[in-house]
Amino acid sequence: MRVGLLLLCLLGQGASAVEISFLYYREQGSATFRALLEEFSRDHNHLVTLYQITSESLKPSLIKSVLQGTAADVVFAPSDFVGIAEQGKFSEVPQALISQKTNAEIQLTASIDNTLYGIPILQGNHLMLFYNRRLVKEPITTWQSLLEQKDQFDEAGVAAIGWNYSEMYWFAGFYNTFGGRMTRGKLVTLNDPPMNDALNFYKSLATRGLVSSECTYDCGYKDFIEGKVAYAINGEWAVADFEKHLGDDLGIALIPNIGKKAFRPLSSSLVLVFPDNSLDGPKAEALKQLSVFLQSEKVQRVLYEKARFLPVDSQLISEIKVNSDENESAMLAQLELAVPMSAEAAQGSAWIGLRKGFELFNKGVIDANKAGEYMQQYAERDYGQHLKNEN
Amino acid sequence: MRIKANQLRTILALSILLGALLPSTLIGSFMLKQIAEQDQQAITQTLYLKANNIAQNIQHRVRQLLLDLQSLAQVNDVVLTPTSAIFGFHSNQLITEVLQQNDWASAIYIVDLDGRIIEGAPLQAEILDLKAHLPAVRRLNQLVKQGSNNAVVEVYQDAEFAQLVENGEAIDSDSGLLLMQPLVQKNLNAIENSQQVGALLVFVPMQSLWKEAESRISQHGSLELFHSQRLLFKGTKGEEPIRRFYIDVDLDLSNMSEPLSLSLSAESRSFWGLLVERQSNVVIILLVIFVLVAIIALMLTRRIVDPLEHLSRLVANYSEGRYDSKAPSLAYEEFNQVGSLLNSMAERVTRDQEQLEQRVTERTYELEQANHTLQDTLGKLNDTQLELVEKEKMAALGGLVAGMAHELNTPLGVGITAASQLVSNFQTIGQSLENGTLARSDLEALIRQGAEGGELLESSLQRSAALVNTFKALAGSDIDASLQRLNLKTWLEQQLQMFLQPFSERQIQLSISGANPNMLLNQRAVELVFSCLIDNSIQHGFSSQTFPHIKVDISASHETVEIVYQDNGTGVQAEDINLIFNPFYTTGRSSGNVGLGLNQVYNLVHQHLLGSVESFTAEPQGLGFKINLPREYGK
Repeated sequence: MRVGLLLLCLLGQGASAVEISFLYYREQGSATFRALLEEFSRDHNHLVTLYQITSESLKPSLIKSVLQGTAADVVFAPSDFVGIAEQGKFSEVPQALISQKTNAEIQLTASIDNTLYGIPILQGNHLMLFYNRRLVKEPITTWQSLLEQKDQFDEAGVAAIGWNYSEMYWFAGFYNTFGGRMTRGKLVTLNDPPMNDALNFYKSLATRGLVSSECTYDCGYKDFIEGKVAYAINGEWAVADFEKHLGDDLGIALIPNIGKKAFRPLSSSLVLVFPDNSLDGPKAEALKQLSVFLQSEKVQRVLYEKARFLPVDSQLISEIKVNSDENESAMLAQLELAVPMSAEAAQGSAWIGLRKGFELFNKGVIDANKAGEYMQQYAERDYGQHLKNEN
Repeated sequence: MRIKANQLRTILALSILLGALLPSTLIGSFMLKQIAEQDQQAITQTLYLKANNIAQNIQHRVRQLLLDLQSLAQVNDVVLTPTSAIFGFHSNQLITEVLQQNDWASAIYIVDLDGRIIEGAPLQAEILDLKAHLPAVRRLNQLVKQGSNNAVVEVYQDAEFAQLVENGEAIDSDSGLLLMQPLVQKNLNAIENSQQVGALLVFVPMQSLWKEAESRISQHGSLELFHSQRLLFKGTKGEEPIRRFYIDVDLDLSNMSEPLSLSLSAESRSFWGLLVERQSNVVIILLVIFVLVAIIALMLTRRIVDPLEHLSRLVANYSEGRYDSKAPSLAYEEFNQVGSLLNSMAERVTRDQEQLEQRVTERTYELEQANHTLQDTLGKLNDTQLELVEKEKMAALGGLVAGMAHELNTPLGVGITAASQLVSNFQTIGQSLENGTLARSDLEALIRQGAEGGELLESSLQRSAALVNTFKALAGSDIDASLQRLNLKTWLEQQLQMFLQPFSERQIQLSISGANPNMLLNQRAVELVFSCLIDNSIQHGFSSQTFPHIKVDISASHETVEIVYQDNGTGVQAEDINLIFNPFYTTGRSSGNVGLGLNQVYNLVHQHLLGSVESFTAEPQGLGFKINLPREYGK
């Protein structure tokens, strides 16, 4: 009798309880996600485990894990990760799995050649200007204004502005603002004339002392929280932390114009991708359940309210827009100006090429012209290799 | 104080100095030589160890680098980088880390199969062109295809990588080591189907090897690295020395087709080089030795010379008669003994002097007495001598007179007899006439006897007259004192030929040889001398000689002329050779010779020619005369 009950119990568990590994890359919001995943596990009798990973190692780890056959079941990643769908053996996502409240534009960020490889959960992921109201009465609108205020900040013993200077996600916004685009369709377009302007302008910000070229992520995060820097350029992922630490002192504004050109940061959606074709595997049902769960209005709202992440639920976004305060309005306004990242594989190659050329330029090894050429050449070679691998 | 070379002080000091310095210098030189040799051996040994050390260090570092590359080649991100630059960020961190750990590598690359750079470190290395190294990559790919996944080390030529090294201009070389590790992607799910996707390339320029080795090379040393007998680089620390020696060591990197050859050289120091190197020490030691020896020499000299000077002053005092001086106490026992002896000697001298003075006084008296005796004796001797001379003269005169009397006695006796006969005959004639008994026959007999007696008387008187003339000639009184200048040989040749003319039937051979000096002399005296000598030879020597021969040899000096005259006649007995100049000595008295010819020669030579003559027995036979004459009469 006892043995029979035990077997029944095990069989029953084996039929419903699915262990799902959930790879999460953001430093922020993991607690919210963890809580939501636990809730899902409870509700659906699955075991979803969140594995934290850094954004830098996400791509290589993902590909290696696929090669090794140890890939996570589902990965929460920026939408441009879709570009490695081939290497990551991402499952094609049926349209049915996409919430009807997710608009088409957002879906495009997760599509290649009209094939959806990811399920958008969040959107935004864009940069914006944060400022400390205790140090700044009126946020700047141009870089020239910041230069004029620099002396005051120096006297106050605080840095004018900080961001992760060597991180290309920040530099890409400058390139966009000057009119460049990292990719156009399936083409890498790093050697366009705006690259020269962007590089020189970007460097001048450092040489003029507005920002330190040695600045890491902490300059625009930790130092800002600690009041050591008046302005910070950071992403929407940091809003929750800033609000938590600065409270009413936190101000959000548009990143200053470059001349008359409005700053255009990159944006993307944050999607669920299913490596090693997990969506077609034995855990497919559970994964689908999880996808539905994370797109649900309730979860989307929790993500906005708790993690301060921008949901993809269009109704919820509309609601947010209506009820938004000054900071939220600025955040959304910046999103409006943002340039969505391409999901093409070329985008991935462009990132690497951009970083290589920028490093050489930033260290003074080559000039801006040569840097543009090098970026383009490197990215094209990698993209070519990518295509070769696909074939 | 003046220093003189012959002073004992100087000699002594120099002797001590040299005696001490020479061995010191020789020993010092020997030791320095030994040190130099040991030094050279040590340098050689050190050089060998250094060369091995450098070689092993290079080998070790290459191996370490190869191990690092192998480790990198096991890292998935690195292996996957050539296939996707997504892995590049992490891979770049890894190769940068390896580069930092292997600071002598100037660049590390991850390249794809076509040799295109995917990742590179340091940053500036990424923009370098690797086209020149594509053949090396292809060779590596080929090896991998043949089944070898081992790393390969080659030698490259590319100046670009030297510029990535700090102080890369230290040596002039565009070569370096290229380490290539294939990147092989394995199917991570299975063992099978591995595939090369790219390679890790590491460039180690020779500048790095030199930088690594430089600290291990001594000043003026140099390091050369060869591959296939091609010089890859030559590094010299400091100025290149003139004298140096080499140590060659093979640098066997197992991943190379041919080994590298490492040649390390160091300055070969000469003995003088060592001396110069240790100049200050040598100079200080020599100076110290010299000063010490000089001080010792001076002290010893002073210790020896001072007593000597005391003794010298003492002896000087004694020499001046101050025998009351006493020797002081001196440094050495030997000198004190000498001083003591001198003191004793002075006492003895003083005592002896007193005794001597006494004896001198006595002797002086005795000598005075003896002197008087001697004066007397001398006077007597002089008297006796004069008496003897007189007696001799008288005896000589007596002999001469006796000789003359003897010679004159016969003709005069004959003359007297003849005259007595004549007188007797004329008395007989007169008596007979008075008595008338004079017969014709008697008268004729008496007249005939008278005529014969007259003739005999005449001949006796003539002979006596001839003898008197001879005696006159013997004195030379008929020779005038005039002098003539002539060339002796020329003159003698004519004169002797003329003398011999009357005896031409005798076939006498005449030889005149030697010098022909110009002389100032009494020609008449010389004529008479040679006339007498030839007469002597003919009369006495050649009586039984079939091939008579007269030889005259003349030799002249600056002041004198020697004439040697000799014949090959019968000569004289040895005991008579000293008698031939005596007057009236003759071997032919029976032939009517008087024996005054050679005496005349003697007188003429000594008195009229102011020379000398002596006789000798000629060899093998005959009689000879040596006549020495002054070249200029009276000088």
